[in-house]
Amino acid sequence: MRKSRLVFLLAVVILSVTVIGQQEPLPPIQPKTAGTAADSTPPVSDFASPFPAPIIDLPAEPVLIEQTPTLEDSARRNDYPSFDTLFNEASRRGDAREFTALHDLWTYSINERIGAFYGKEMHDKLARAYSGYESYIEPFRIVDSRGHVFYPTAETKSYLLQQAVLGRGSSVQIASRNRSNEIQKIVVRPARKRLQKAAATPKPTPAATPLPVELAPPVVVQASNAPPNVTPEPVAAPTPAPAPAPPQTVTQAALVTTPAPTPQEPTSAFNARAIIVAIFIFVGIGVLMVMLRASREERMPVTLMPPTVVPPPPPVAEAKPVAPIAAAKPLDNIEPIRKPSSRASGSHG
Amino acid sequence: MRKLVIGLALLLYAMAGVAADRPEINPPANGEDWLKLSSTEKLFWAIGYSQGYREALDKIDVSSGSGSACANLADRTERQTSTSGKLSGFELVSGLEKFYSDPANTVIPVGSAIRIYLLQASGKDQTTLQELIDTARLLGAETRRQPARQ
Repeated sequence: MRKSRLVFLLAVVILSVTVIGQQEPLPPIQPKTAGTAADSTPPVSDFASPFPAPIIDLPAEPVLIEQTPTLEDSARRNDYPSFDTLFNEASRRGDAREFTALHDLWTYSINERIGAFYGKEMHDKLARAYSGYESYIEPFRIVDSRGHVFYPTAETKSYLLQQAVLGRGSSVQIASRNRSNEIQKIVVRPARKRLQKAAATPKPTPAATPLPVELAPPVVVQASNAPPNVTPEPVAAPTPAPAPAPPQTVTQAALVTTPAPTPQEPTSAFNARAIIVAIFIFVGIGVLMVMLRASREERMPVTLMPPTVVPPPPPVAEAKPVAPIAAAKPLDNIEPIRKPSSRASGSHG
Repeated sequence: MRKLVIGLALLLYAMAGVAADRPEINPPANGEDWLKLSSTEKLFWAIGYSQGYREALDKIDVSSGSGSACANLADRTERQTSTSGKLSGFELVSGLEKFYSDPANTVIPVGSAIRIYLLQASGKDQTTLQELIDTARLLGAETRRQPARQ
């Protein structure tokens, strides 16, 4: 009996505690601006209000916050039309430098038939422009059954967007201004402009600005005599002083030159190719001219010897009587003209 | 009684564990799902789609008999919508990427998007295409709302 009473009492206590607990008032609501200087000072009012300052202030009408879309937002939403419009507006103001590569790539993907992927050429140019790009895109590459490598545009877009948001468009400029321009031109005409440049000035271009900078780093690293000041003008013949190369100078030179050498190697290779192509063209033209002259010389006597053709008529006359006998064979030769109809009938069967 | 309760609890626990371990991958239903895939997944999905479509069309002859009305219908109409032999996987992925680059199109089911893209590629007039796109947007938005209601 005692046990049952005890249990009953316990049940009543628990029930009452829970009921009391539910009736306990909720914690007081505090305004969001609590603790600010405005709240600490008493509110200044023109008329004395008997009520305290409102804790919750609900506006009668919804507040429409106008959010101006940004390039980043439109890129994240995968909204090309608005991105393109915003980019064009921003580029007029000169504010869209970081997004240039992204815009070019996206435009390429929209305009090309296989725009969801791109090849090695564009990959190489992006790798030159962005240092971490190659390691990023490596897992995403796709190799087709012929062994050609393709890189996805979607993943590249997200990478370029990330770089643009981080403001790493500047790294492209540091590498070289031509590179960013090249990336822009890749989409439209990657090869033609280079060919035009090479054809217009095949020899002076390497002597101008870019090539000395290309050749400089390796020379400096190997010689390792000169301080890093030599890097801009290392064209001079390398002094063959066999001084032991201190590791510090080498590392400095390597650090200084790391961004430069990669992009400029292809230009020198390209110039060499252009020269070779030009030589082949000249040789080909020469061979063609020689062949044309030779053919003219061969034709001349043929045209001058028409009277020799006169004799054939008599044999033709002789052939006429033979014709009816041998008519079967030439007629067979004519038959092929009828073949289409026979084939058509055959196809029906 | 205790044994029964313990047994039920164990059974429920085991079912929950099995359900958690079972992998579940669904094909992309619309543009939103499509854009979540990686490019490799998109490419292999496109190749599989073309192959499956072709297989299904070829099976119509088997099921309904060659020369039957069903087979002729498959030849005349359905083959127009198949991608196999017309587009490579790369082209199909690129076409869908273009199509879904407009956020308004992301509600459109992938199958409808492919048909619209094929019509676009074959040179269909823009007015008809726009009508199709608008209809597909409406239907896609409707199908998107239905699971939310349930």
